[in-house]
Amino acid sequence: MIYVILPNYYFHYNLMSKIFLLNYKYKDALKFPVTFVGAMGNYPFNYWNGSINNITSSSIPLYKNIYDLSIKNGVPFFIDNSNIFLTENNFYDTFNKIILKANENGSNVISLSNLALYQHLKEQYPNYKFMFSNNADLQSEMTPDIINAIVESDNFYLIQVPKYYISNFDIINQITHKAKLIMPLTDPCANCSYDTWGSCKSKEHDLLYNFSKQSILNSCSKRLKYNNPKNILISYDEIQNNYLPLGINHFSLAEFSNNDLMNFIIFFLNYFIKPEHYDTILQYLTEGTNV
Amino acid sequence: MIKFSIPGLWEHANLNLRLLSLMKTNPDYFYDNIAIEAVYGNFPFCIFDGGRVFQSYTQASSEDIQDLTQKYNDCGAAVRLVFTNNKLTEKDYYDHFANLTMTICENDLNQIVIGDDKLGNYIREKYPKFTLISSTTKCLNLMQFKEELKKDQYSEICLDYNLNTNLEFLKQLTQAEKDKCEFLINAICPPGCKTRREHYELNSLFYLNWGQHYRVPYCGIKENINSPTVLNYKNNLNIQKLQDIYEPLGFSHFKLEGRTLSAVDVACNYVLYMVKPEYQLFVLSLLLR
Repeated sequence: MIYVILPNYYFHYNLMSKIFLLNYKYKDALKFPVTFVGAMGNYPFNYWNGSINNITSSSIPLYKNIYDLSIKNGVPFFIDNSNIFLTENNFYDTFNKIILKANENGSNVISLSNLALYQHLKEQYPNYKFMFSNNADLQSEMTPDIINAIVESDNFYLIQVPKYYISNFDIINQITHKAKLIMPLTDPCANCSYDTWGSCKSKEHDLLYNFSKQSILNSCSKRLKYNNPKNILISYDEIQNNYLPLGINHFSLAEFSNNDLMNFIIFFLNYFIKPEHYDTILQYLTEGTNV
Repeated sequence: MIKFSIPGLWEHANLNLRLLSLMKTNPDYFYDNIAIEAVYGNFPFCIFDGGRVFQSYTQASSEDIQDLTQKYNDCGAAVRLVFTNNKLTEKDYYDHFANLTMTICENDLNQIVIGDDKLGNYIREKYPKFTLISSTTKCLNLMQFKEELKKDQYSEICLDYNLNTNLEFLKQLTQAEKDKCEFLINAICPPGCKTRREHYELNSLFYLNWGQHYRVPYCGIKENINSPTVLNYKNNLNIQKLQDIYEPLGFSHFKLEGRTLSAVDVACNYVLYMVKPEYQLFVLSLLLR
């Protein structure tokens, strides 16, 4: 069994909740045993977000929207709070206080890249699980020693591995407690070499953009479409042959922008669904939507 | 000179910019000796906001803030940020959006209305170019107001509306003190409202709880701001009183409220206070076009 974390919690909540239920409703349609454990994301206009803030409307989610979504009891929420530019002055942000309070139910997870923020949140919100994001790598290299120190500290339930390590089994083998590792399955930045990604100005730009609430910048033209074969970092055969034997069974899907929605669905069908069930699942996923 | 500060920096931006430009192009439509010194309000969604609660929100981007501030300043009007949330703690002072707003708006013209002296100290230290104004949401009584007048950090102090007509006291003030007085002249609240301060506090909590509404059980607001009942409330001052009594006494700062009202209500109010009777309907039609 592999465990997959979905993207775009807020903007495509309905789609993600349908995928989340696939295991129960259309188990036979899945190519291999997979459990969707939740969806990563954040609310719009939240500058703690460590990925693209996919703002499609200028409306801001208020108390009622946040609480309504939190009590739907649907998809577990992996709250992306991994913006590397956060400082201690930002830790008491009101918007995040409301979001974290509303979603503190024991099953939701906070993804972060800042150990000081971890200490703060752990004290304030003890009922969350924590995941260490590979965004930390944008600030200083996550060497195997550092990853091991984080793994052994026992503070984090999952640790996201930097993209340039995922096929470097010499390094992966140096990491203890491999069951805690989570591998990115897709990477829209795969067009760029691993060396340049670490110092990527566009990625930095996205995070700074979250911070300054500028209108959305399509800052990188090299970003791959979701159904581009290059976007897929690990195939199912590789999971089966290389990762599961090591005890690595957690994987995550990268977020996508709104105009990439159809591409995401095509990718999803290709990767997870048996061809004879494409029609049924496509209909199920897109029912009641504009897609 | 009668200087107005008008509401709805963000909510009534179109209306306000139209009014400002009309005052420039057609001063003959307006009473002599009047001006708009500031447009007050806030860029949503800002937890430093207090005073009034809105039903829906959009999020202003830094570009919006920059753009609108520039437009008002180009018309000669100051942007007056209403930072009157009196439930803030020191941890909230670092709020990202409020600080972003202040960074963009800070210049010698723009102002901030303060409801809490501690927040005022933080702003003075970090954004020294702003002029600070003490808010009517403090609901100061006569003694407290006298104390407030002594504080150097405020260039203006908005009186509690119940002090508006206490001419015996107002006449005793020195000219320097009179220059610091601002009158809220069209309050929608009935005179002597006992829940006014509580209402402001609950509005402050609304922002800190990201839009959770609180009911104010004994709120006396019932009438439209342009209804004869409200216009004739004993605390409200019409243009004749401003021209005949307050301006000759040496007072010059007057505030119109209306942030949560519709553009039509606000425009009617502007016309009543600023436009000569023979032009009132015509200007109204221009403003609402």
